[in-house]
Order: sequence, then C-alpha cells, then structure tokens
Amino acid sequence: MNIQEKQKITWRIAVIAGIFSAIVSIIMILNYWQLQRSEPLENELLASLVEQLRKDTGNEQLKEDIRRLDLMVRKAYFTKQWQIRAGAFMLIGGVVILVISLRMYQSYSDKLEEPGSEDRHLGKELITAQKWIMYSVITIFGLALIAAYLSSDKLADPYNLAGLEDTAAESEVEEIAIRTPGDTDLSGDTEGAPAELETGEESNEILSDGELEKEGVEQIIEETAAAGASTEPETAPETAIAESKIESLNYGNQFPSFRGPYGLGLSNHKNIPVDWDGASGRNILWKAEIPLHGYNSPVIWGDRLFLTGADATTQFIYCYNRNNGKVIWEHPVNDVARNTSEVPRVTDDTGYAAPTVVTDGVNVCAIYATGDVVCVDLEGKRKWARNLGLPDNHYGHSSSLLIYKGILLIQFDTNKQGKVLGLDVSTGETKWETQRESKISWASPILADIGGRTELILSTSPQVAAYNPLTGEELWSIDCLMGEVGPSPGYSDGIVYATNEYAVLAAIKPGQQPEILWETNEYLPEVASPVVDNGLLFIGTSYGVIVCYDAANGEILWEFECDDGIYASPMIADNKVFFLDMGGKMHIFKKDRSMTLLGEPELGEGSVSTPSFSDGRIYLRGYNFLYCIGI
Amino acid sequence: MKNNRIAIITFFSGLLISVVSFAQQRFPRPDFESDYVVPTPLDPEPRLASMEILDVVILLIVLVLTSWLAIKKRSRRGILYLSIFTLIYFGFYRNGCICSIGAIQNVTLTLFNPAYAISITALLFFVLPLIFALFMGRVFCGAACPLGAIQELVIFKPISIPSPLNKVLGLIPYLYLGLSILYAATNTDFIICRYDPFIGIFRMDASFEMLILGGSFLLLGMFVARPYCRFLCPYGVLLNWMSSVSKWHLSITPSECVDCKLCAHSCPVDAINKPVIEPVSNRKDINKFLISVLILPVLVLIGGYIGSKSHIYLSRVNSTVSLAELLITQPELKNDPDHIDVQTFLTSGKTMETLVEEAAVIRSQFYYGGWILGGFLGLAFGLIFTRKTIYRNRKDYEPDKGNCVSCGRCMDYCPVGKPDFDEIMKQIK
Repeated sequence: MNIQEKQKITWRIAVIAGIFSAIVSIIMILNYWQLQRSEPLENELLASLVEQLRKDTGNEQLKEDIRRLDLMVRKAYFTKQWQIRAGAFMLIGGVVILVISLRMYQSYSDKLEEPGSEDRHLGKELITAQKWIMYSVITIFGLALIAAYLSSDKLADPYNLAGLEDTAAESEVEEIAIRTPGDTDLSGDTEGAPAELETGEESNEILSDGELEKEGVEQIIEETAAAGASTEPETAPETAIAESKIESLNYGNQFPSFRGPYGLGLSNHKNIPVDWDGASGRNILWKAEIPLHGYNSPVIWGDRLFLTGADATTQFIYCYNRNNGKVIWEHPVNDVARNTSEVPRVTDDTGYAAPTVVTDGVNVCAIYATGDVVCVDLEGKRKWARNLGLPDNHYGHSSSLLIYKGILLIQFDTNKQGKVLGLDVSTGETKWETQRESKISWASPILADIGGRTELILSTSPQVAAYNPLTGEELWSIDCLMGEVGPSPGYSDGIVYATNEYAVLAAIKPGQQPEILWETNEYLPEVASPVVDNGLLFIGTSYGVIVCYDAANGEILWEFECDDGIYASPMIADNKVFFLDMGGKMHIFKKDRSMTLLGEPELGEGSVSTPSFSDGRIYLRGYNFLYCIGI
Repeated sequence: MKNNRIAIITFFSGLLISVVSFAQQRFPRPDFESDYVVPTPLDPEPRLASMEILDVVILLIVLVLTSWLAIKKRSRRGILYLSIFTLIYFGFYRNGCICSIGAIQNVTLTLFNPAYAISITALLFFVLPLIFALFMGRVFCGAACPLGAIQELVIFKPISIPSPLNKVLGLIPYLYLGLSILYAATNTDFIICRYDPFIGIFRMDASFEMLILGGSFLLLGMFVARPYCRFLCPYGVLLNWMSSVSKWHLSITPSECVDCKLCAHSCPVDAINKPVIEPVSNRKDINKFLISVLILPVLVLIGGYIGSKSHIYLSRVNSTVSLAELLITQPELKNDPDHIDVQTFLTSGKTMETLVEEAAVIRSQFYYGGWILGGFLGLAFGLIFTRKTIYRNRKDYEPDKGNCVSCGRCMDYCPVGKPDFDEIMKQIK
C-alpha cells in the first residue's frame, strides 16, 4: 500500500469517526436536555398526586398510582442517565479514533516546508506588540475601574438593610420582658390568670388616690369562653413567616400601643374572629361601659387592658381585665400642675382623650389634650406626672405615645411649633427634645427598624422625618405632605409610606438622601393611617373607600366601597385586614392581592377607635362601650 | 552492569508498589445482602495516603523521564507516549485531581487560613514541577500535565497567531492567577478547579456548560494549539518565571544551528525565537526602556488603586457576601420556600446582623486583596511591556524558555544530528 492509499484510508476513517462523534454528541446533548426536564423530584403530575394524597390520606388506590408513577419516572430518569454515560464512552471512542486517524493522515501528508525568507528585523513587530500590550492594559484597567464605580456597596448603606428588623426587635422586646414584674413570660396568658385577677382586685383596695372599685359592668360571659380566656394558646413565634413580617417584632402576645407594636398596624395574633353581632350579642364575650369618653384605642399587656377617658375637667386611666371586662383599677389624672388654667380647645371628633396610652409591661403612660402626661405602674400606682404646656391645637392633641428602651416618645406638633420629646419613662425627666420645623400634626409616630437601626418616624406638613429615638437626632427628612396631617406613617421592607388627604400617598426610601419612589393622589385617607405588609398597602378613606395598593409601585390592586367613612386605622392580623367604619361595621378582607371579603360584622354602635387584638380576640371601643369579641 | 542496575530499580519499584497493595480501607463500607452498590458521594473518592504518595512518585518519575526525553534523548515520540500515560493516569484514572494547577489555591489557602493544613501531596504537586522548571524548563507541560496532554493530542493543523495578539492574550493568565489567589486567600472559591474545562471530560460528568466549554477548547485546540496552556493556565505564569532562568532547557538543535529555517514554523505554540539582527540600540530605544522602568511603580500604584476599588464586585463571588446582598435587596425572598440558600440561612439561627457583619469583613478583605491583585497586575503588565522595549540580537533559532512547553515537536524538524544530514554536511564541506 503506498502513501496515497494510506492517506485516503486514514482520511476516510477520520471522516467517519468525526461524523460518528458529531452524531453521538448531538444525541447526548438532546438526551441531556430531556434529562433536565424529567427530574423525578420536580415531576408536576407526581407532585399533584402527592398533594391529593395529603388531603385524602386513606386512598390506597392513589398511593398505588403514586408508587407506580414514581417508579416509572425514576426508571426513565436513570435510563437516560445510563444512556448519557454509554454515549460518553462511545464519544470518547469516536474521538480517540478520530485523533489517531487524523495524526496518521497528517504524518502521511506532511511535506517539507519551503523555508522562504524571513524578516530578521523585528523592530516593527516589537513596536506593534508594545502598542497592543499598552492598549490591552488600558482596556483591562479601564473596564475594571468603570465596573468598580458602577458597583454600589449595599452592605455599607444602613438604609438598604431592610431585612434587619426581625433581629433588632427581638432583642429589644427581651429587655422589656425582663423588666415586667410578676409576669413569667412574654405572653402573660398563663393559667395564672385567675391569680392575677385576685391580685388586681386586691390592688384596688390598696391603691391610694381614691380609686373606686366600680360596679356596673355588663357581663356577657360564656363559661367556655371564660375558661378558654385564661389559657389562650401562645402564638408560636415561628408561624406566619409567609404571612407577614409582624412575627419579627415579637412582642409576644402584647398589644402595647396605638396600632400595635411600634405603631405599624400589624398584630401577630391568631384565630381572630370574623363574625359577631353587637346587637344580638353573638360572639360578644363581654361589653363594658367606659365611664368617660375618649377616642383612644385599647392597649393590652397580659390580661390587662388600658385606655383613657377625659372631659373638660376630668381625666382617667382605666385598667380592665380583658378576660371578663371588669375594671381592675381607675387612676385619676386631675392633679397635674399646669402653667395655665385654660381649658384646651377640642372638637367633638377629637375630644380630650384622643391619644392612645402606651405600656412596656412596667409603665403605663398617657397624654391628654391638656398636655398632661402621666405614668403609672401596672397596678395603677402613679410614678410621675407633668404638663408639657397647653397644646395650641385647634382640634385637640391626638398624637399617641410610644416607648422605646425606657424612653417615652412624644410627638408634640402644635400651631406654635413642632417638637418631639424623649422622656425617661421611669422619672418623666426630659432626656432629649428636638425642635422641628413643621406645622401642626395629628398623626402618631411609628418606630421602624431600618438597616439595623430603629428610627422614630413622624408625619407632618410638610415633611416626613426620622429621628434617633435614643437621642432625638434627626436622621433624615423629606418634604412630601401638606395640609392637616392626620394619618400616621406606614412602614414595611425598608420603605416608609406617608399620606394625607388632599396631598399624596408616597412611598419613601429612607436614607441620608431620602427619595420618593412613587406617589399617587387617587385615594387618600384623612385620618386612618395606612398599613403595609408583604408588598400590600391598605388605606381607608373618610368617604368610605377601602383600597389595596401594590406597595412596590402604587398600582391599585382592588378597591371596595362601604357605606360609612373610615376613621379607625386598618389593622392586619391573622392574614386578614380589618377596617372598622364609623358606623361600627367591620369590613374584613383576606390580606391578598385579590379582594376577598371575609365578613362584615356589626358592632351595634359607632366607633372611630382602632381595634386591638389578642389571640382569638378583638377588642373594640365604641363611642360608649368597650367590647371583647371572640368565639 | 547496566542490566543489573535496571533489574535493581525494577525490583525496588515493584516492592514499593506491592507494599501499597497491602493497604486496606480503614473504614470499609457495609456489605449488603442484596447486590446494592453504595453510590460514591464524592467524585473523586478520597485517596489512601499511600496511594497519594504513589501519585507523587509517579509525577516525579514522569518529570524525570520527560526531562531526559526532552534534553538528553531528544525524543518527541517518547514525550508523546509519556503524555498519553499522563492523560490516562492523572486524567482519567485520577479524575484530574489532584493537579499542580489547582494546587496554587491549596498553597494560598494554607498561607492565609491558619485553620487549613495543606496535604504534603498537594504541596509536592505544586513544588516539584516548579523545581524542574527552574532547571529543565517546562517539562511538566511537556508530558506531566493531563490538561496539556489532552490538548497536545488533539492538535491537528495549528495556525500561527500574530505575535502581538499572542502577547495580549498572554496577559490573561496573569489575571487568572491573581484572581485565583485572591479567591483562595479569602476562602471564597477554588476557581481554577471550578472552571477547569477538561475536568468534566476526565470524570465523564460535569454540568452541561462545562462539558460544552471543554469540548470547545478541544475543538479550538485542533487549530490553535494548547489554548488553555497559552492563554489561561495560571500555573503557566509560575512555570514561565522558573523556566526563563532554567539552566538546562530543551533546544531545537543538538549542537549548532545551521539556520536552515526548517523549524521556523514547527512550534504549534509559537514559542520559537527567530534569529534577529537589530542595529545597536539608539538613544530613543534606551529612553523608552528607562521610561517603562520608571513607570513601573506608577503602574503598580494605579493597578493597586483600581484593584482596591474593584473589591465590591469581586467580593460578590463570595457566598456570604452575595447572600447578604441578596437578602438586603430582595428581603421578600425570606418568604420563598424554594430558595435553598435563603432557607438554609434562615434555619441556621444566624441573625441578619451577623450575616451582614461577616459579609462586611469579607468585603474588607477583598479591599486589601484588591490592592495586592491590582499592584501585581500592574507590575506584571509593566514588566511584560518593558521586556518588549529590549532588543535582543539572536543568531540561532531558539525556544523561548518561558513559553516553550517542551513538547519536542521542533526537535523532529531539526536535521542536525540526523545520520543522513551529518553525512551530507561532511560531503558539502
């Protein structure tokens, strides 16, 4: 056989081997794609059958079907795997033959090269090489520099750290829990509740300042409800992660302030009833008359429920047993030294006791339209009281209180000036006071954990501003509101939401340079504060429209019209949103992107107060009565 | 005498190997009554210590043999057969691990992480080829590297890449070396191993993308010889440095070059330096050289500055940093049960604050590492540029000591020393 024949043979072998390898490669690639799509663990049919089996666990036929299908899918999967493996060996064989035949063909066709002439002067080549190297280095460094400047360090800006509220809040709550006397755990809902009741009754006799044990409570108690009330299940802190972020606030079973922990409008309580009727008493566990009028909302710590009432001459803090509606104690606040005898100007829809009390489990603090601030302990014993000055407020002071790490936080925006104060909750001394360049406001502050730092956020005209609750230092502010601001801010996932009627609803990204991410003016609340959770923002207007917005972009997801306007702030609990209209009808929706109305129970009397919650219970303050609703 | 020597060597080699065969699994797998075979969780499986020593011994033997074949015996065929053995043993049998290229990362990690102890095997795999390169040239690339071997075997019709392009592409290994050291030092990743294009072929198992990458490299390698070795291999940078000052190196001609030019286009990796006649350096050339030397510190500083500024995006390869940033920018992912990384973090008990703190520490490590990386690249690129300002006169065809991979192809082209040639030269003279 001469060289040409050998060349031909080796070339033909190379071509055949090449085609064979190419075909095997293509088949393997197709097989591989099929394999990716037929993962046994991600088989949709199998998953749906398993889901069916969960609902129908006794279905033997279904179990058999699942086993058969599972076996089939796994067989198919492992067969394909085997095929790929076999294909790999065939491919290697084909490539080896291809390589060998190509090398042999090359050796048969190698020709001696004609040397030719060569340029022995490489100066030009070197210069070209120098230029190329220089350009390449400049390009590499230039691209690196551009990429460096286009990259933003998300770890450095604390305002980007939106996910840290879960950890910071936990540690703060633990502090509060430790300081609670007599309570053995955060919930307070222990079987020791009857013992606490006895304690409470005793303290009524012990307490000075003329507390009276008041009769006249109208009790509608079901035996089973009463028994259940003392042993309410604790909320498992690990539940509802998928439902809301409120679990991260971890106040246990407490409802310590206006709109719940931190004033965000979120409650982590479960099994909230959706049906009751105030007129007939269905699911009304008890109903208690409130001696003095006030629009503030109930606040709960353990088995104690606190609220205030006041008129032009008298102010009281009331403590109820939230299990049976009995008054545990009443504390008058009529002896606070003031620098004026002037009576504050208030309107009927604000009254003298609009701000909600706050408690940290040790102290209960209240503020009134007179500017009186008082602090008592959980037994109703006065700790301190002072007057901040008569607020120049043409409707009446209504900003509620907050407590943060032993500091009582007071938003005190009046017609004369705006300011925010931090008082030592134990002594009433002013720890800090920050003047604000703001107009009067009736909104209440909120606390938000932004980037690992807790910020006190206030809404007023024109600005929404944040302060360090420990020092009063202003952290940021942005002008976006106008008019007489009633709604408090909302907060979720690093974004602050501020709104006011005839102004805007704005989503604000806080930071050293805060920016408005989006704003709308389509449906705006006058009094009710917005509540935000899981990308959904809810507002209720004073003309009776309930709206669900997409919190990311302000898109209206759904809206609902009710007969009465809404003054009470909406609350989120148990994956539901609760809107109480002024007629006393509660509109309950599923917390979802699509509208699902769960119920419209009626209280039987009008209300503008925001609901409070405990597990399985709602507490509503009507104009005259306090209600405990449960099943 | 010679036979006695060979017999003694063979006897002791056999003894060594047979001793190894007595080794047993310290923790044998359970025996099942059915024919169930326990699948291996690791690929490749951990190796017995004695077998690891065997690997080192085999590497040493291959390096010695390659040196002998390249420098003494001058046998291209011998080098080729040895590289086939390397491909089978270190490639397919040992599944490409451990390899000297990846050992850079092991050495780096042990230097920067006191909790990591490098195995003696990894250390020797790193050191031995460098020692041989220092004296014999890049004999490791010639026949001891499985990655080089597989590329060597698929070379079909190598084309010559223009020299400037060759030089520019030759900058990439420096970048790859710097990045691999940076990522290993910060305990981020072993990127050399992760992006080894041929490991999937050796193990016959890899992600689809890596298999395509490996196949593409081989396809490319048919026409652009040894593309990974020339334009990516980070170990090649170190071998280049060592080999540049090697005392004994493969030469094209066994004695004196006769300038027949037959070897001019024989090197598939364009590593032959041709004879050059240049005029004596003039003032302009000297100035250029001096300027490039003086600019070196500036390049180091500029490179270091750019490297430090690049710490943000460079650090995103780190899993802790990327998770922290992900949870910061998309906190709603906490509610996604399908996101394994996020769910693993949530169930770990670690707080977000801790995660962010850890990520910030790692990012600061990248800041300082970026300075070093950028400075190194500035220095390396500057030196490469400076080298190009130096004109060297050369009268023979010589392999470029730094770039020559000691494959020996050029030796077959050189007629000097071949029996017929010497006879013909005698007759001509």
